[in-house]
Amino acid sequence: MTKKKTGKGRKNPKRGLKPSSAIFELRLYIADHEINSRKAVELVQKFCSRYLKDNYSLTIIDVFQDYQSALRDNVLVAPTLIWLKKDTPAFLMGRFEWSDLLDFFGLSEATGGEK
Amino acid sequence: MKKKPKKLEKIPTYINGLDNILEGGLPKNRATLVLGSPGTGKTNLALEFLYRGASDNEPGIFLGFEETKESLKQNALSFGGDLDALEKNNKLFIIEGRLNPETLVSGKFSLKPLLSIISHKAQEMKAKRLVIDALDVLLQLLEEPFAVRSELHYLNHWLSQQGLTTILTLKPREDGSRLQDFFMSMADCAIVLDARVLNQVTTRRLRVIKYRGSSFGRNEYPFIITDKGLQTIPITSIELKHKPFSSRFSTGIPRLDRLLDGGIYRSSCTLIAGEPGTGKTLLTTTIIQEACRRGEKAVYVSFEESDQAIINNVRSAGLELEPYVKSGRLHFITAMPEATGAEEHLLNLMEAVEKVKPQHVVIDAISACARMGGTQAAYEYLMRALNLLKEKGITIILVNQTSGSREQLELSGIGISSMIDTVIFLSYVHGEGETNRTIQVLKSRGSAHSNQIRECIISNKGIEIIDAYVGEAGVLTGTARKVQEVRDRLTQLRQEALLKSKELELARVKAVMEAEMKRLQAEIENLTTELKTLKMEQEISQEECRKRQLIREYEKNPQASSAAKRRK
Repeated sequence: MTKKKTGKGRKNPKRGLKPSSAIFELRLYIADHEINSRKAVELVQKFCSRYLKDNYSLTIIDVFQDYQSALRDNVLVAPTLIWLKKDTPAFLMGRFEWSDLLDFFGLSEATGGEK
Repeated sequence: MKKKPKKLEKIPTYINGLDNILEGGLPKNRATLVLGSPGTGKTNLALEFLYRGASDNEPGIFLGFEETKESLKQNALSFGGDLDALEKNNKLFIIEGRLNPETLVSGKFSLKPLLSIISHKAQEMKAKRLVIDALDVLLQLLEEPFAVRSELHYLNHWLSQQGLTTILTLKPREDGSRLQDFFMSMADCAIVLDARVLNQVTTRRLRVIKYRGSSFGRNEYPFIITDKGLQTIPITSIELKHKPFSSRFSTGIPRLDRLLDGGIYRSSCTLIAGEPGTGKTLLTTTIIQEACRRGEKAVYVSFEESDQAIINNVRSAGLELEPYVKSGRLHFITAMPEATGAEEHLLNLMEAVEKVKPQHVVIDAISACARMGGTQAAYEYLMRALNLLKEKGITIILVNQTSGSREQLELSGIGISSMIDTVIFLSYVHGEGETNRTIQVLKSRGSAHSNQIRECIISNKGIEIIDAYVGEAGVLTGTARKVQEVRDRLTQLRQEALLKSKELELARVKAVMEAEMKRLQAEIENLTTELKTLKMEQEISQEECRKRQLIREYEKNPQASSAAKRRK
């Protein structure tokens, strides 16, 4: 089950960790229908639409379907969110929460979607 | 003795000696836990298990959370393993589980992705073996103990379905005892590794603490990591199957052969003990030279002198070892005991034994073995060396340097006396202004032997054994012996002379007596004769008297006298 939800550009994850034209290229690795994974998907989608607007691409990868991508991205635990930044990709793993996502992207509530 | 469980299948690790301890290998398709602090060789063991398996057509997957692929490959190269080639042939797959430094970790997560990767990959390459190295590194990030437990439950369940023989490695943590407990209950087999520094020498040890459904060697086994990989020689897995003694060989010293009732038994163990300078090495090399002369081979382990020093030293006593070294009949191993651990010493010895295939092995001196890292290390080294050598039917000569008086002497040194069949004790006897060497056979299993002290003389013709003086004055050697011998001879001569003179005197008295007897006899005879003569004279004179009377009567009355005469 590989869901792809894109704001602007859509990228094939098999190309590897290369930044695309979208400012925020994200990959979310999940494990099947595990509760933490389901929560993570909801949370990330909500977060993206609120803060990143149309300026992102999010690929959701289920490791049970596509282990090769996980292997290539060196993702061994779920959920893991990867932000393909220009220089090095950043990883966020575990049962992250709203505040973790803000930290991860270097945002704060003030600069966020309240605008 | 060992029953083979029918249900439990094992797969060999192909690691030297380990399969002996595990009585066949690791439990097939089950998890084995390898516990050990950093630097004890966990990763090496696991990697070698995979490497040897993959080389034997059992593909494997390595998942490591600590080391990079590069450092693993370096590790493997140290035991001659080429991981690249195996990777290329799809026999080995390495997953680097090290976290990206940019990673932010937040709370609970599941290990499913990595398990998914492994199952898929395992199917794809038909893997049979799996190593998960230092999973605790990842699990530490799961702060909640409950989360750890649930992930491990899942891992356990998953492992049981994979058909992979697995090694999990774990560092024991003081605070992580629960984690360790859980790992322990998950695994069907558990091996503990540790590295201890004793007297500046590191000894690695391995111990199997659990093996469901199988027996195993329960002791601690020392092991080393060499260029051939992990090596261990289990001490108790060596069964006592020494051959009984049969034939003897000559020591090269005829008198010593006689003391030993015909020589030294083949495949026996002889201890030559004595104080420094009593001729231990000389006696040993004499025996070895004689063996080489007969065409036999020997390995000489010297912990105290270099091979050249030994060769030169014994040359002054007329021994020439050099030709035998050149022809390969005599092989020296010289090493400082503290240079390596006991395990490496043992392996060096056993390697030389494999190569040379000797009939004799000398260890000079066992007293130096304690410098390998304590008495325990020395004991293990010797016990195992002796066992292995005896099993091969090799004759062993141990040299032991002793000090102090004979009474307080622990002859065999490091508690191996049960392994020793013959003890030859060399000693000094201090005399008047000189010191002399003595030799004594203190123990000789399976043969009559003289237990008397003999004097041992070292000259340029080698060792010569002569009878020591054993008499009223005790045991004497050297000049004292000679003096005493002369003294003894004089005493004897004096006694002999005295006896002879008494005999002569007796004879003389007897002769005097006889002479006196003869004289008296003669006197008796004289007197008897005189007496007879006197008696005869008396008779004659009486007759004359009577005749004269008759004549007188006739002159007075001739008729009457003639008538009387007629009447008569």
